[in-house]
Amino acid sequence: MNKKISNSIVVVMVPIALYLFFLILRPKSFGKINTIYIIFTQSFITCMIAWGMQYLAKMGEFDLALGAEMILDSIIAALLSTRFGFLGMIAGCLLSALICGILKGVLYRVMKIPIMILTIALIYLLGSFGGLITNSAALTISYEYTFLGRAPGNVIVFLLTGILMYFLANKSVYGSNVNAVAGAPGISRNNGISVEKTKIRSLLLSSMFAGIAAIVQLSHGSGVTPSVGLDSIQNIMQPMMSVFIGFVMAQYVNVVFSIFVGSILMSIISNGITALNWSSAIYNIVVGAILLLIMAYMNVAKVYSKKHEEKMSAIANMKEMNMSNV
Amino acid sequence: MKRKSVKLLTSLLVTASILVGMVGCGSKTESADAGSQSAAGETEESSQPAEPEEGDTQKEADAGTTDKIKLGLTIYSTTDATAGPVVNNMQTACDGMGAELVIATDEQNPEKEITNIENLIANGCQAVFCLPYADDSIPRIAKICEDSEVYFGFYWYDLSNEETHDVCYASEYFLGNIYEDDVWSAYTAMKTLNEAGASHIGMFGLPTGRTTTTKRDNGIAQACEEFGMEILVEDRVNTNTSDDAASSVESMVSAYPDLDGIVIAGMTQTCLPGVIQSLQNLGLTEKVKVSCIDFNENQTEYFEKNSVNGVIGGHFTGGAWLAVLAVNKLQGTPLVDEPVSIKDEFIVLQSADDAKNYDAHLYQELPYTAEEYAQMSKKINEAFTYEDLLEIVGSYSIQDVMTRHNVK
Repeated sequence: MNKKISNSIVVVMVPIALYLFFLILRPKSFGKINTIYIIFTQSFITCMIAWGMQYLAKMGEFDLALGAEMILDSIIAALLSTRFGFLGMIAGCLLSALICGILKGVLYRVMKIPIMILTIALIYLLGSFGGLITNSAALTISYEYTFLGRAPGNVIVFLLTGILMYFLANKSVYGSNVNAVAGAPGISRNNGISVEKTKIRSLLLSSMFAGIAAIVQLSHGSGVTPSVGLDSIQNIMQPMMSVFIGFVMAQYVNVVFSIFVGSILMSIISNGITALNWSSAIYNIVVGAILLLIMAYMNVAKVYSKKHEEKMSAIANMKEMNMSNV
Repeated sequence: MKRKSVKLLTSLLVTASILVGMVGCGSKTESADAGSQSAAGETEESSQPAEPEEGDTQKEADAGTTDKIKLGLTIYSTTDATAGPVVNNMQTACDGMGAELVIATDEQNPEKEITNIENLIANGCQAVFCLPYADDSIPRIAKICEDSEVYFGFYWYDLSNEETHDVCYASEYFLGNIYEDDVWSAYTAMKTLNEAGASHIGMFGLPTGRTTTTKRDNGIAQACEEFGMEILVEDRVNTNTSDDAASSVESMVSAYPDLDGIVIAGMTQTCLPGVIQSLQNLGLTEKVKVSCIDFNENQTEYFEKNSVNGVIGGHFTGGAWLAVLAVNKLQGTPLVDEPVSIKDEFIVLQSADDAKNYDAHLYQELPYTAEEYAQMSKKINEAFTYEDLLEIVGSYSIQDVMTRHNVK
């Protein structure tokens, strides 16, 4: 069998196994096509955020302000939609995302502090700004502007974003630069790749993907409530877990697809827990346990990969020595 | 050198922006973080209660004859459809009775709540009010207030736990608590669903471990037993955003096709738009009935579209009643000598007309004017008694407000 196909089967089997697990526990609910449809459509928002996050994550950085940004994007969009209709909503999300991305890039370039620390500070700033412009009140958008929150609107946005993501990750110089920086920042620098610029571009990209996700999210829920403090971090926990799962599976399939599989896994868990009517405490235990398992798996994989690299390097050295002796 | 200066300047700018953002966000009439106010020092000297040895009466008299009485409120927000009216009513009560109100927001964070109380006290507040988010917080709050010789009271809180009840009632600084019958509110929300023909219910609930949660859960259980209803599924996690609530409704409906009603036993402010949107997307607005506790900004529109069957809320005068008790106590004319527990009334909306009347007469305008509150101060109206206060609290309804304000 073609290796690509067998690898894909290995990855696809994971959500299928999880689905079967819930199907056995609650066949009445998980035996329906509609449940599969809901699982897929609910994973779109998580997946789009995760796609944007993965570049920074690959380089060992995390943009924790994405949740706060999405809330601010939605607030600006909801406010603009009252004056400029549907276009105002779209423009609001994208413009706000662009400004946030540029702001993060500029601050990172000037201050040169770890992105995680910078974005924690930004959570407060963006959250408070959203609270100030809305007077902390919840906002809603008109039903006529919500068609991107349901099929086929959300499917189209998701597919277009996926195609864009695929090209960025696999066919662009930027994607190659990210891979190079993630692998060996020092060597990349020596080869003329600016680590700083690559990270700044990743910050901007993560904001833009979050902005697109915010359009779908606002359309899906039709409302947004300002969030001050660190509460908004909760919004990016599922995407973050999808990224981790995606990275683990990326050794078998393309990372764009593996992150999507990660998002579907999160969606299955969420739906499964609702279907089984498990308590919120169990929900947190299940999600937390999965995250821990993935982290542990990642560490093991990292150790294995390092050992493998050392072994390969030793073999290469030996070959080189043999050649020089000859 | 130049680069370093730019870095330093940017760092200072960002830090300043964050601080301004953090301080500015929660504020409405006063600062969010009360402790950050620059006037704290000077006010504190003139408004601090007298030495404890001089006795309670002396302290009350002193407070009454010196500067304006200063009250502190810590609350999760100042502007949404539930918290906003609490703040507005309390502010109007303070304006009417000649007191000053300092507000701090706590985002439902128990630790932040404690910090806010300390800050409010440091800011010179002579009485502070909060909704304890956990029973464990109460002994700490009582201790802080006793050590600072500052009165305290709770809104939206029933002291049903014997231990915390005793801690509060043993304190000479405890003014009282204003509570609602949360068993009744949840029971009524379920009754509304039953009357609309729903019996298989999906529930959005508050996080477990809170007194309010337990009471509302009890009310729901009571209604289930009485009306033969069943809670098929409950969600206490996906309540913080409309999007999460919308996803949760999709999952509920898919997993339980029999589901014909949704009760939102809290967090309606964030949940309701998502729930309504999801049902509309799924074409289930007719089939699945919705009833909730706590008001939402868009409820009139939802009633007009028949998307919601009942909303129970309007319990926002508790802060004002605490202000009435505190001002009278601090000016040396206490309405009552002992701590008190007062039950506040809910308002039940079941039609677009109800929602419109509520919006016009209790939300856009307040249920009590500053002049009406002024008459609740014994310094202004000597004849006012505690029994009068109880009568006012007990008669609270949309009709009562419309009658008092001569609305036809």
